[in-house]
Amino acid sequence: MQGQIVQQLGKTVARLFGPARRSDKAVRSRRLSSRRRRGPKTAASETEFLDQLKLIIRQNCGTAQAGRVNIIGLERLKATLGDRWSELRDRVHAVTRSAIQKYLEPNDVWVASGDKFVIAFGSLNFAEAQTKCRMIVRLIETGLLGDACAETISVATAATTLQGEVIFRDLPSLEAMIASAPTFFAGAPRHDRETLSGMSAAIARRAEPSSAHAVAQAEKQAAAPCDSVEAIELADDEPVRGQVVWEPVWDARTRRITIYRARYVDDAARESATKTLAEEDIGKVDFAVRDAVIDQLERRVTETRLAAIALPVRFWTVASWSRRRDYLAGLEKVSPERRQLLLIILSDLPFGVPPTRLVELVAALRPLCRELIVEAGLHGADIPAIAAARAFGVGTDLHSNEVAEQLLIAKLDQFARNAVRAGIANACLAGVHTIPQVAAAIGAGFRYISGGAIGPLEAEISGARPLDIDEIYRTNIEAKGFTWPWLCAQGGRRRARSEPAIASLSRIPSEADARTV
Amino acid sequence: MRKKILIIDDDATVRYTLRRILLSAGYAVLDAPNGKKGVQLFQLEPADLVITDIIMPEQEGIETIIELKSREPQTRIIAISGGGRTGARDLLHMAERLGADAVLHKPFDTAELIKAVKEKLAA
Repeated sequence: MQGQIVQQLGKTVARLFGPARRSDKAVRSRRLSSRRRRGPKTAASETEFLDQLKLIIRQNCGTAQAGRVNIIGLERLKATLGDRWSELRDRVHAVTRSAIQKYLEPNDVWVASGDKFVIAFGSLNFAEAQTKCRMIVRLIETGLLGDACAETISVATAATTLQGEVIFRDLPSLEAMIASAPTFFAGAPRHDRETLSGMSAAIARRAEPSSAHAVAQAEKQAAAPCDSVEAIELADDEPVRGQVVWEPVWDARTRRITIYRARYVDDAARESATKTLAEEDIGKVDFAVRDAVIDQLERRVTETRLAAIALPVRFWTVASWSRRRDYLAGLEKVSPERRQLLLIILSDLPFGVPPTRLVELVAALRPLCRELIVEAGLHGADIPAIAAARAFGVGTDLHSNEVAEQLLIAKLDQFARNAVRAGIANACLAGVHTIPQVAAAIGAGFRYISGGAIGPLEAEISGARPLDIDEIYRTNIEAKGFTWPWLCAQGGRRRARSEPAIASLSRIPSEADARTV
Repeated sequence: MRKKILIIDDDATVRYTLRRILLSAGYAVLDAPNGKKGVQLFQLEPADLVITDIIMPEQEGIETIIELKSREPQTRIIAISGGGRTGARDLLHMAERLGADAVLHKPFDTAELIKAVKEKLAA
């Protein structure tokens, strides 16, 4: 069956590079789009795959055009991840597939064979294909590791010798290709060499805006290639639309709302609005949220019912040195007293981010706040690395983890247990929207819980307040049309309201500190 | 006539084990994988006693207890939870306050279960 699939793919590729290129373009485009929607095909074996590849190259491309067939290999990444590979393989493949699909055009095709991904570009020349391939790898590396210079993914171009053997030739990095454009691949046709240095911008115009910007910047920064995120600078001309609102965070240990997390919502008040934003816009949002939080710290410091404010900042925003410098400059203006009310949540931590990078970021952010929480994905988060970076807490956001509730319960248990095992006492869960999720979070031992099931987003911070577990259930159960039971409603609420309303966080000096701010 | 017991738990192994224990103790047993289906089943075939887990998808145990008690205040309910979960005790306390007649923290042994079942059915 798989052999047939590979054969079919071979025929499609053959049509691309051979006579079929002159056939009806629309029909071909439709067929290929449909193939891409269905996802990659897998060869039955390495030998079969190589045979098919050989056929494709020899019959349709010829050695002169062999640069059109490129292989992205994950072997080095697999070796880097070691034992964790089996656990993370599916996610790595998903990121790779997504990156490939982002750059492919209707007449390109690709195929997966184990941990290799072969891409055949239908309408690019030698240099264009290779540059585009490198850009795909850059996207994969930044998506997985947050560092485009990790060199954990190999890229090779496939060609055949006169004897018919398939040979692979490793490609240099994108920066090196751009820097050495005039001499790169001396065997390449002259027009290809001339095209190389300028073509990434052309590709960028066809790609998404954020990638376009990244490539344009990459061209400028070929001499300093080791900070890919640096490439994405903020554009000052367009202000951030939407607004910053406040999400109450419930402390399951003290049974109080003690923290308000800043959330950016768009005009339609969608909480997860940032999901659809390009990277540079995410950066802009983070800067705007930072300013809103600083403003709140100034305004709220005189109030009696002090609550801490959680400032989320995405990994991408602070991963590059220059943007981090700008971001931290704003926070440095906050007085040490006001910092006692500030928690920073380093969010959207990419999978597999090097522990040294994490330590670097935590060390940069931590002096500017009361405590720092690192938020990672529910799957495959490297919690021991987060613990080693000395974060106060580790968290995850269900907004970005769409998992069936049954599986979610098990995953939450595992996440909280891993946190405890790593020595982190404060596990945080955001985006909790249903009562089963609340129960699962409490049961698993999460300390800080937030989301629609805890309380709605607030336009203004209403201060620290007691919130008993009964009250959380009551609100949700009454919303379903049931009457809250006779037994505990009165007592529970009365008891709660009689308690003092002051923010408290464990391991944090004292409540008195907060009052004296 | 045999007393009927409804088991609500998302863990198929737990359902199977409880079913075996209760059948061998002479009870008739029904089971459901979550609170929502449990309540639906209860409406079709009312049981003398309900044993419900707390942490379940779709509709968890506390909501289920409240719904069952709202519909049929005389329903006897035993809430079970735990299984290594750190915060499960809090939820069991709450279940007790909200109408569960007894709570059992996992893991519990057969004698403990049978004793609780007999007590609640006799009450």
